[in-house]
Amino acid sequence: MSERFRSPVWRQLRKHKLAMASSVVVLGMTVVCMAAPLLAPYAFDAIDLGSIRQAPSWEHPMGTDDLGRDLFTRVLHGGRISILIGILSAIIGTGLGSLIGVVAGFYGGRVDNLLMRLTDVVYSIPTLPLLIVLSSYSQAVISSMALIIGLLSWMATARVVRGEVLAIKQVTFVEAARSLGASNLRLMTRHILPNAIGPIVVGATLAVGNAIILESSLSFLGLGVQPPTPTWGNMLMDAQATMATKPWLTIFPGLAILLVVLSVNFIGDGLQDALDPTARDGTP
Amino acid sequence: MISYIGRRILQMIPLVFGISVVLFAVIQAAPGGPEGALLESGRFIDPQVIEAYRQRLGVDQPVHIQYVRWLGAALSGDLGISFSTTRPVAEMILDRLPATVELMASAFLLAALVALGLGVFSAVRQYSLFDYLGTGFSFVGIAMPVFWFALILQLIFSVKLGWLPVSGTETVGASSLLDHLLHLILPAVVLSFRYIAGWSRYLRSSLLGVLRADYVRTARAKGLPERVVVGIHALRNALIPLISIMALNMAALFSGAVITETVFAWPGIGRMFVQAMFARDYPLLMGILMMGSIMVVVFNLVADILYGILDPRIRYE
Amino acid sequence: MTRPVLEVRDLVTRFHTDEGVVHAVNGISYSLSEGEALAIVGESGSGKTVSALSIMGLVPEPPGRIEGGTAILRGRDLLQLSPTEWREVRGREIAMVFQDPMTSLNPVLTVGYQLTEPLRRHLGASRHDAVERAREMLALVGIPNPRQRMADHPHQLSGGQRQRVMIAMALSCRPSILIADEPTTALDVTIQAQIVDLVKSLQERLGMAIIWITHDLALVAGLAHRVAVMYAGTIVEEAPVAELYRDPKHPYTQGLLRSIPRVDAPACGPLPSIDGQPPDLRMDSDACPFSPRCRHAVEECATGKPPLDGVHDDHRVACIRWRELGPDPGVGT
Repeated sequence: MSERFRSPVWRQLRKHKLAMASSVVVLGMTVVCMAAPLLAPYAFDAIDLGSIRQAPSWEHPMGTDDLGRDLFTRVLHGGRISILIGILSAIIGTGLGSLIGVVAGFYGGRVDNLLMRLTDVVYSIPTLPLLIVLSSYSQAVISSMALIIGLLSWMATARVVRGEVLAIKQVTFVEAARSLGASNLRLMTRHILPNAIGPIVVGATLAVGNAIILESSLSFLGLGVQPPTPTWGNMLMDAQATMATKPWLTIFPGLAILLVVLSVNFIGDGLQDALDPTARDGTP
Repeated sequence: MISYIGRRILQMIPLVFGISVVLFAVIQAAPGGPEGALLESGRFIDPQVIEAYRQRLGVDQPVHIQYVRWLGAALSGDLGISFSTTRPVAEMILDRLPATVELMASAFLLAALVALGLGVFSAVRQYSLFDYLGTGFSFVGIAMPVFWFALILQLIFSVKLGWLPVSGTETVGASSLLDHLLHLILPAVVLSFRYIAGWSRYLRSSLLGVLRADYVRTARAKGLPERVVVGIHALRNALIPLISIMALNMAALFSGAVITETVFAWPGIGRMFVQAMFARDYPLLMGILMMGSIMVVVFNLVADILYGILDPRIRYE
Repeated sequence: MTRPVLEVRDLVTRFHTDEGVVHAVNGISYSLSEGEALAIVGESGSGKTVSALSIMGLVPEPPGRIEGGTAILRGRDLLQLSPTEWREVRGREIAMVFQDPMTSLNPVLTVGYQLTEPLRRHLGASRHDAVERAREMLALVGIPNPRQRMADHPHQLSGGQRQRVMIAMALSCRPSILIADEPTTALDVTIQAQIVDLVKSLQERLGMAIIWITHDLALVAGLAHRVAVMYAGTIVEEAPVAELYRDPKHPYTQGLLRSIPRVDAPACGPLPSIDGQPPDLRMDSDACPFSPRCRHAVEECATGKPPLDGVHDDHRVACIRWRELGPDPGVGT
């Protein structure tokens, strides 16, 4: 895998300016949010009744909320949770999807049929309502949220990986390895998976953005991580009531979501182009 | 063709069955069991009464027996009784379903029409300023959280400008068709936005591919005007793969409707779902999940049939 | 042959790509008389297809651009036409049949729809008349059961049948010129002969002029009246078909003819081929484009592009040494 990334793919990606700029944005936001406890000017739950509902100023770059808490601090802390859940659930979902896709494509027959029908079933159930129900079963903490979101976002990866595996299986080197007596496990992990890595990586990148949106939607409905722990979603839920008079409470957390998801999607797009330059559709 | 449609409908049955099994299992997994929410809500104190209820609900039986019972009842249109209102779930859903269908259909049509225009124009004018703006717009549209976009539109068009109502379906005391349509605009725009972005971008790249095809050159060689070349010869081919994408997006459209209805207080099954969640009304949750999934499956069926009509290469055997 | 129906003079078409300017067609001239069949022969990349697309106004723009020359059709310069005027010419006065019948018909439209389209557009035919005429055309090109085939989609037809449909479509408005761009290359050998015969007999019946583009010099023998050999975007030799076979003057033509298997000559060793590669068309050099591969090249060949020189009225050759080289010992009798 490392070789793949040092090779033309990496060079192609570096040519994709938007993807490179987005990587910087995502990396920067991730680092700043993760280091929020050190970097943020205030404590995320520091109530200051002397300065409630202030518009953005030098002391409070994004203003303050109903309890006088610094919004900038809370956006940084909220980002920690959103980004962590996004990355973790993308890893879980992509891992699960790859596993299911490889097994289905590799074994074929009844295993394939069963797994693909399961995929159809889960694909047909709207994700958010199902997520709402499942998340109510456990405590809304980062690990369980990431797990649940991951468990509901493997289907696309499974289908794509299965398709790749079916295509790769036809190629001679897999036949050759098999004739040399390679075990099934070895075939899958050493020969097939590395060749399907392209679409897996692209899918994982896009999954991060989707997971962040799902998590924030859930928090927005009041069903995700609960206050006082700030997330971008539950901050927006709080802001809804005072939207008319204190628009900054609505604008900043939303912009944060938009910026991260947009950047992550740009990276995914760049990766796609880099991994498959022939499939470029002439996107400017 | 008829037999093809018939076969596709038959193929739906195991899919819907599978969905019901998964959903039933999910609901059964509720901590304390789905009936726990009702029985331990404090409404009932006498253990005998609770036991009587358990028997009446059938929850003393093994899970698979419960499922078979549920399935039997569901097939005859009985989705159980709501814990929160004690009304039949099926009735509650049917009351609210038209509002959801109206919202989803409006959003779908809006998305399809606008995406068609944007996609075709961007492809025909590739690398123009319009194309760049369209691509930028679609990236933003795909990355924008639905609920935040809803809030921003409310902020601008309802609160600041006062042009459109903030939420609901009608102005109390001044309801009319026009008033209702004004209430529909913001939710429909919010729900369609993501799909306008996604579908227009998809159509653009699909059309760019088709415009390079040999048969498009043939059409030009016949001396057909560009509008016929693009609008008939290229577009029909470019739309075929888009239909699959639309079908794939239907589950997400329903998810979007849940949020949109909640933000705009739109009285559909999506908003009812969120309310049912806070009330731990599991029969109602199960019913709505089932309904939403069936809507997705039915739409996929329609898309499949449409695919068959648009692409003569699909075999019906 | 009577008066010319098409006169092409100094046609220049270039492609402005990221990798540089491709000089696809470098000032070619030819004329086509009414009812004449002209074959343009050359290997892939020699500019033969681009030259045809240029007079159809079908060069993809950008990156392509027609940068010079004239193409006079009945007193009008095609290259000066507005897009609207050009649409009136395409399919009406000049029609084209393409190389790959499997991809040249629209897969989602019926054969009947695609056939009636030019009739309704160019001749203003009513729906009924167009359908009637389309059926006649299908019968004319030898498609059995034209009535039923009208409702078929292209994937229901064989490759040969599809090419017949393409020909019917091209000829439906009775154009004065038919451009056939390697219409048999993608087909089986037996079908190839059928299509060649079909086009020949249709020409006798309908009397249109034909530009037949091919890489196969052997194919044109029974089909064309005259042959123009293209190399690297230029015409290197042009002659009546019999004369070209009998007495080719240009070393490239001689090479091409040598590489054709002949049934009337004793087999002796492998077929000779022309050494070397066609030139990179991004270079705009002043030399004779064939000189790097030419056995007879001398220093002088690198100093300027040889003009088309008349051997006699009908026979022109672009080689400064054609007089001294004499007949090629490898060909002819």
